[in-house]
Amino acid sequence: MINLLEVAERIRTGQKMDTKSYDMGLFRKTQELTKKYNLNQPGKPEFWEVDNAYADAVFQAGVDFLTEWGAYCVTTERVIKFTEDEVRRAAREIPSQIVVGEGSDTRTIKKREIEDTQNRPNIVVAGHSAWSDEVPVPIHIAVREMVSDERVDVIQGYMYAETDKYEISGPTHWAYAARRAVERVRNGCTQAGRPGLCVVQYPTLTRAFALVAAMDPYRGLRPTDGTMFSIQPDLHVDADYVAASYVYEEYGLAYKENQGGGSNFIADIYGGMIISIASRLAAWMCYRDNVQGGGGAAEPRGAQRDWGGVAPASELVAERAKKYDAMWLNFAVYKALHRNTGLITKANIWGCHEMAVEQLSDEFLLMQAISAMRETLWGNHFHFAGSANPPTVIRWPIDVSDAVMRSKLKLSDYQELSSRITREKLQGWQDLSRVKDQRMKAYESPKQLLDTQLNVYDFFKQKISEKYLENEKKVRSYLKDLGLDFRA
Amino acid sequence: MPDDLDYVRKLKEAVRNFDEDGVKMITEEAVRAGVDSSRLIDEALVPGVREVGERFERGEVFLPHMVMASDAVDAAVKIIEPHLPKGKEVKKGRIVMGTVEGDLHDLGKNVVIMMLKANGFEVFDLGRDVSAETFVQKAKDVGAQIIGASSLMSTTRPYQREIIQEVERQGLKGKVKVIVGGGPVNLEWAKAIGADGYGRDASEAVREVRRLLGIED
Repeated sequence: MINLLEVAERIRTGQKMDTKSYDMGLFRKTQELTKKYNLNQPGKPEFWEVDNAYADAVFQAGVDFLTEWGAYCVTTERVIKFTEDEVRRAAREIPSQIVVGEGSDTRTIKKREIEDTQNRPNIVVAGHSAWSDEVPVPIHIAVREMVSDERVDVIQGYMYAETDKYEISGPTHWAYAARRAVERVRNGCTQAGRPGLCVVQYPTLTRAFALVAAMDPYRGLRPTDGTMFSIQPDLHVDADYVAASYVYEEYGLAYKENQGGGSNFIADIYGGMIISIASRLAAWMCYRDNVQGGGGAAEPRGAQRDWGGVAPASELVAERAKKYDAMWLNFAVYKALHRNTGLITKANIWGCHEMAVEQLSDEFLLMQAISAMRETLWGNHFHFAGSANPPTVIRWPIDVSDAVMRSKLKLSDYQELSSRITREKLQGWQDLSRVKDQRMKAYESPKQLLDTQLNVYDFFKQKISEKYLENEKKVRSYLKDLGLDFRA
Repeated sequence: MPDDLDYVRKLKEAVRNFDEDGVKMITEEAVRAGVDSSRLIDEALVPGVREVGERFERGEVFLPHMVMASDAVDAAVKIIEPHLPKGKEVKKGRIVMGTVEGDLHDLGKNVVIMMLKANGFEVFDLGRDVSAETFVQKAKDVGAQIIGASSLMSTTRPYQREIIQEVERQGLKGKVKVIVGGGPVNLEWAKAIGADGYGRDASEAVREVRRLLGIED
């Protein structure tokens, strides 16, 4: 596969182009490839009926994009082109299995299959957020509670505007903050009795020195840990990330994550499919990202969003997606990746703190259940986004997923169940899923950052609220009646 | 023989359709036909591109369309400028924009730039990872009234304050105003560092710029 020094060479010598010209070319190329591969087709009534030929056409369009237009280095303002051979070979060589963590916290993460009811999803909990010392729960306590469940396999960290009273600004403080951020998460894991858990760095800064500052087998990132190096929208690659990726590759870092892949310069969702594929391949080739978001056809920026990624109930998606058959197209991207690469994919579970104003009601639990069903059957691993979630928010979808697997559900069952649950229990409730990103409270009102979570769970006394327990019992019984095989 | 209103109508339509070649052709014809240049700007180009901006806000068109409409207007202005009456300003104000030092995120900044351009401002995009000195130097070089500084990371946010300090150090306080924005930025922070304005999103940034330049809606 293309080595990172060769990528660095292309970053240095590729065709010079200003960002606007590249971005506008991206827009035109996606339009051209959409036409060439006839991607603008009406969706089928059932989203899982994406045929193999269509999925392969989506994938080929992504490959063509990288060979004909390329990725873009924002640092040097040069285009990085690849040959079809290089892209195809890279796609074949994406690992379908990685081993992370140490000791009793060692975990094997494998690519899951569509409708996989053999391999349980791995669980990634994420800060992916700023944190402040003013938050009423100290970070090590929040982490301790989030990873207390043995089913949690990976935790992604946080960034700080201030650490130990130092305002983080300038190279030394950036390096200091990067190291402390990893150390604090590790402390929380150790307090939970999980010192070997895979800790994933949430970058403090996008400069190479800061990205590698925490690399330290004794006090920082171990080779069995990970980092998040996302491709910026519109296939924008950063030379510092490539440099840091090169260092981490030699270090043998186990887990590299890409959460990017969208575009601002597409004008329809079909272009979004192409960029979604191309971004994931580029993230692997340029950064060696071996765990990535499970695809999805990114809508153009500013479009009336269908919330396919966060509103799991197909009825809700259908209602919102007036313009596109979003679920069908999202699944097409997923299938394209799945058929043509060994990529390990994960997906956000709905209802994490990022997008939730409450984590307690029957409706909340049902929405989470639908999300867990969907991702289990699509073949994704679970990603719980930040800033901090109580163990209930993590445990409930795991229980639902286990029940889905025991019940050996199919995607068609999911469709039927999600429609029924939506019809019977979620009418009039769905708008709560469109909320402001709650992580922003870390800046605006850190003392209130965990208000939602504290209604459900006492992080100090490790106590779940009575109301939550009552609701969960009710919802569990309802889902059991629908045929889900919950165990005591 | 088309009259002035025909040219204005056609030109506005071409801007709405993001048709740069069409915009150039109609502008050249209109100038040759002696249509009042101010009219072309005030009744065709500005409302045309503003309408594209409004459609963008409603989610009906997307960033490439904004860029194309904005490029079309820039091309037309180049043709019109030599024919403008003396003293007539085409643009409402000059703004220097960028993402602060250490920060490579530019999504929000790009949208703000597009919205400002659609509202008739001249914007100089400095890109990402821009030092405080570069912001201020560029503002001096182009005679900008406003610096817009975006930050998407809590760890790069302090560089917004450095820009304000650099403006003061160079004796430009009051002459060059600083507006800040970005994910980790809020009104409280903007006030704390002494920024002149704060934009929570692109529309608010445009309103703030208008307020700072004393432009009425």
